[in-house]
Amino acid sequence: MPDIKQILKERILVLDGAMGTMIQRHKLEEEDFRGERFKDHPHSLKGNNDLLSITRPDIIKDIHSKYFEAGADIAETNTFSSTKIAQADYKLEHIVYELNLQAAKIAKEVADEFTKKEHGKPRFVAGSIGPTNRTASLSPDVNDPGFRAVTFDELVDAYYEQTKGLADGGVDILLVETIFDTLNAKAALFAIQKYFYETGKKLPVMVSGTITDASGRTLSGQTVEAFLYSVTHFDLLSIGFNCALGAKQLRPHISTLAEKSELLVSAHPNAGLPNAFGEYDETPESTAIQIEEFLNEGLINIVGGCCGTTPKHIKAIADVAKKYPPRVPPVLEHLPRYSGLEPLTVFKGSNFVNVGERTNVTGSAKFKKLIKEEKYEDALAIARHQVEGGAQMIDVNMDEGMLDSEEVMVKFLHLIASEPDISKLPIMIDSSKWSVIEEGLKCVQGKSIVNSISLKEGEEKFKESARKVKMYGAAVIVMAFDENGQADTYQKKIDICKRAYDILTKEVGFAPEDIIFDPNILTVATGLEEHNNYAVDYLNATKWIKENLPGAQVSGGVSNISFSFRGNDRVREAIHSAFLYHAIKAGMDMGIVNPGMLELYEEIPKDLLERVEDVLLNRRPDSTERLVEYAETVKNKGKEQVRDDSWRQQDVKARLTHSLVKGIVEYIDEDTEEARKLFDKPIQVIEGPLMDGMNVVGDLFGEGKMFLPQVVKSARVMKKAVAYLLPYIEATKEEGAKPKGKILMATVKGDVHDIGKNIVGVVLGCNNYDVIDLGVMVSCEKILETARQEKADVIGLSGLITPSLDEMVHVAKEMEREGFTIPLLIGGATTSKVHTAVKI
Amino acid sequence: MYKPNFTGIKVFDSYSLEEIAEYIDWAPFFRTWELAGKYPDILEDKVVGETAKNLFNDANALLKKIIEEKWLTAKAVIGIWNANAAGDDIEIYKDEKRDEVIKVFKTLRQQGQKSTNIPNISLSDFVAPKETGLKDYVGGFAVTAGIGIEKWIKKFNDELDDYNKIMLQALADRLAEAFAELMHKKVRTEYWGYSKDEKLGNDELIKEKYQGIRPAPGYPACPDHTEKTTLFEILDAEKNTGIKLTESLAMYPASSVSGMYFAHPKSKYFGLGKIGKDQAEDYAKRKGMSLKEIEKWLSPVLNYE
Repeated sequence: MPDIKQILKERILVLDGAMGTMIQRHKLEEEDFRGERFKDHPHSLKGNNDLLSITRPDIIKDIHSKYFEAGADIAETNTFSSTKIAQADYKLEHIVYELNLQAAKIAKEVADEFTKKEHGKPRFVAGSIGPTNRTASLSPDVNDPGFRAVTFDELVDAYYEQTKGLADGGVDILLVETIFDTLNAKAALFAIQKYFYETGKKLPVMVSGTITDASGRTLSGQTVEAFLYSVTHFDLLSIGFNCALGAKQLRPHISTLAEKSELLVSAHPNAGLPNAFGEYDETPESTAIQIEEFLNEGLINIVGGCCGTTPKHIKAIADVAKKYPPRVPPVLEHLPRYSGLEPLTVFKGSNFVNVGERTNVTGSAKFKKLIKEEKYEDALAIARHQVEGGAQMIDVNMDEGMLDSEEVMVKFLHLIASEPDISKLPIMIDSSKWSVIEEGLKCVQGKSIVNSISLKEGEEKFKESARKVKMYGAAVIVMAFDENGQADTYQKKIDICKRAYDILTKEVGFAPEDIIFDPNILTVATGLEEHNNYAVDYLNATKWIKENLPGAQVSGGVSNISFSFRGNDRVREAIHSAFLYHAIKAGMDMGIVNPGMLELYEEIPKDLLERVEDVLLNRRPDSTERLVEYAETVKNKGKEQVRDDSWRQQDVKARLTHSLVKGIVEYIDEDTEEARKLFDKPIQVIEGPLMDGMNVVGDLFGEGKMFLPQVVKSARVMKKAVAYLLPYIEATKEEGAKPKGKILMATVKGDVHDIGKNIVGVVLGCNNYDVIDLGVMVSCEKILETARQEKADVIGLSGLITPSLDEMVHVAKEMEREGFTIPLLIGGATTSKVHTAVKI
Repeated sequence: MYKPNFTGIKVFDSYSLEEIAEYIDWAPFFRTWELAGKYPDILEDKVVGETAKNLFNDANALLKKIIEEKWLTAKAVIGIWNANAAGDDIEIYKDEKRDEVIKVFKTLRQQGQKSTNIPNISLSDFVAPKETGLKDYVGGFAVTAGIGIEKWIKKFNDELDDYNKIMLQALADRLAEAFAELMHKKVRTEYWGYSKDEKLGNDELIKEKYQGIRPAPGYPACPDHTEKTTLFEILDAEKNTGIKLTESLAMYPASSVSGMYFAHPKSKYFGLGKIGKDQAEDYAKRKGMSLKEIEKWLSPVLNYE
């Protein structure tokens, strides 16, 4: 068989078009699907297109021929649903191997015929591996986000069987396509790798995802880039997208792939979007024109069509593909890349990556308690909190004797998967037991980091674990630990790291940027002299690793360093910050930290900093004693709440504004009195400084910087100030502050609810409206009578319960009848714009 | 069938506010103050966290006062009765003999187009039809936490303190809902006792992880407020709790909750959706009211003008 990789360097290859729509043209009935062999099958088989490979091979052969004739280089086997999972719908699990074998044989037969006819144009067969009809990362039950309808292991099992059938049937390529859930795809790749490993066979593998809609993400929520990083642990022939979208809509996503990947790129879009009848009416010419844009921009290496395309479409595509050279993949920098729903690339010179450490039962008593008590909502809140605090990755650890760690890890990761605000980040799966890590890896669709493996149990175990990590597509943290124990000196650290680096890169085939070394951050200032150089050893080892093990990253668990000072947060925070300052300078790329336990390096008091750095850098033999001494002095000082009364020094106008904005009633009477003396008329106090203050409140509220409770508090201050001035205003026989208007508010007859009305009244009141509130259960007569008496400018009605709607209609009718022309405001839980517009 | 540990009425006078406060669901409290977010996450929210924390502190301070100084009085009445479904009605019987009907609750059935095998349900489906001969039961309740609130509202009004007035009302509402939650739990675990071994934390109660429902007239499953009259009659609610019904059938004091108890494991809340004239006519007949009047009460759920 000619080398497909070589051919792809020379020209663009064309994939065939849709199988399903071509089969539908034959208008087959139940009997056609059953044939003789499945005549008595207990389940309906109409629509099971894959079965036709056995019962109507002639139709399948014909379709392959038509596509080859149109110019396709690669035909996909008729095996989109040929897994035991998808065939369970038809109760045909038992013939899955045969379906794949037959379909592959048929396609190969036709391909060989055409290759014989045209020697210069070899024809290939790609075994189509569909996504099945179950999602491994999403729950089908909206009420139970932790539930899964299929497991990773079940998928691997099904895909393995399919791969075997296709390979035995002679396919040239394996095509994992229409991926709407990346975890399903990872299971397929895992199964394929397993197959290759066990049989010694190797075939080129294509991976093609599906972007479902305008969000630009897969169904399981990943962005294009995140998807890319999740599947490129495997040496793929190509990466691409197919289905769901037409060529035009697909282009931007293909463009992203072309830009961000060194792999070949494939695309087989649908013939546009379906019309109202679910049919595709994009013409071959139209499809070809859109595909030409891809070709023009040099985005593509393999191109074809999916749903709705026909041999005519493929011919048009093939004709235009002939005219263009294939895409030349870019040479990209090999940087560490991880993904959750979104990608995370660690660029050189980017800031330190911080990994949230609070979702760790060994590190957080609070988290441990929540997991033990199965309070998963609260446990998720901790994870979310870290995301909001700026963590770029979450480390999840469930190592506790009393927990079934595998089960709890899986449960928690499943729940995280349904929280996009958490699962957008890559996950660090943390355990000292490999089985727990493995179960965790089976739950995560993104590219995660395994924390950790080591040479503790010897080289063979290390290699085995590393191979598995690679099969799951994760990056790995290697602890500086070997058969003799933990590396505590500089020399031991670098020796172990070098040994591990060589094994991983040379024997296991790990990409260096997927390796992260943890040279062990050990506790200093323990009182034991032999521990005093631990921080220095770590810093030096970090430097050495960055200089001598190219591509590898360095990480560490920062809070370890300060264990000697547990209980004394001030000192611990200072130690962490100072340590990180030096470690980052030495080259540390990421660390497991609690961002809440860091102080700004520049803000550490100088004497504390000196003592801390003496300890860390082992500058003096008595550094531990000196730091402990200092620690004693800060031990009992909590964070004091200091009341800042300095604002009382300002002038009275500023004080009034401050009181209003902060809602402080304490000084309002005396400040208002002071202000009153400054003006000729008391009204000017309201129109001047008080309204100025309320305007600030209004602006802040409008900008979303201040919220309702504060507004109400401010209104309270305003009301008190105005009340204080009222007797003076009346004494001078001045007209009251010209309010913007008078609003009469009431909860209608028969209704008792008024919290909302009260809030509206307060807000209107502090915006200089005169508000008259009649309370609850107010009859129409009373409302209108008061409105007349008080010369109200607006009437506002509130109601919560349905019958109040009728009452509001009644009031409106009466208002009309009695000749009111003022506006009517409607509010309350039961009201709606529609009802107000139509009925009131 | 779940035989209750008692049938008839039980009245609770001056229930401990302290105990009730343990069941408070704070999320709606923040919504009243137009702060969006889940509780307790909202306290740490980047945008509204500080405001929420201050508000929460003020709320708890006032709540402490309300409890210690007994500003409010909480009263409740619950009932569990022998019952069976008769068509879409639920018949309440005088006693176990089930030969004398003392009250009938009338329910409405969904009429919307559903997919195959999805039934159009009504609340009466959660009670055994009398044709089966099975002895089933149904419960009801009315609780309030707002007795005595008026004088404190007046006090805050006189002090020009809208903030605390609104705060007090919001807290009284929360206490009423908490009281309903507490009472429902006691009914499930003690008084009816069909979930004796239930051990749920507050979060889980708020998420309704228990068996059974307590729909209130006005809820999407039972939009007809006039059923409250039947409920109040059978509970003698006004006499037992002091809760009055206005002419629009709102409960006064406002901080009150009433409804029915269904124990069926498959009972769930649902939306009635819209109903047609045929059911409106039938319902009017069963209620002994004119079609016009029924149409007034059911106007939001009619699928015709």
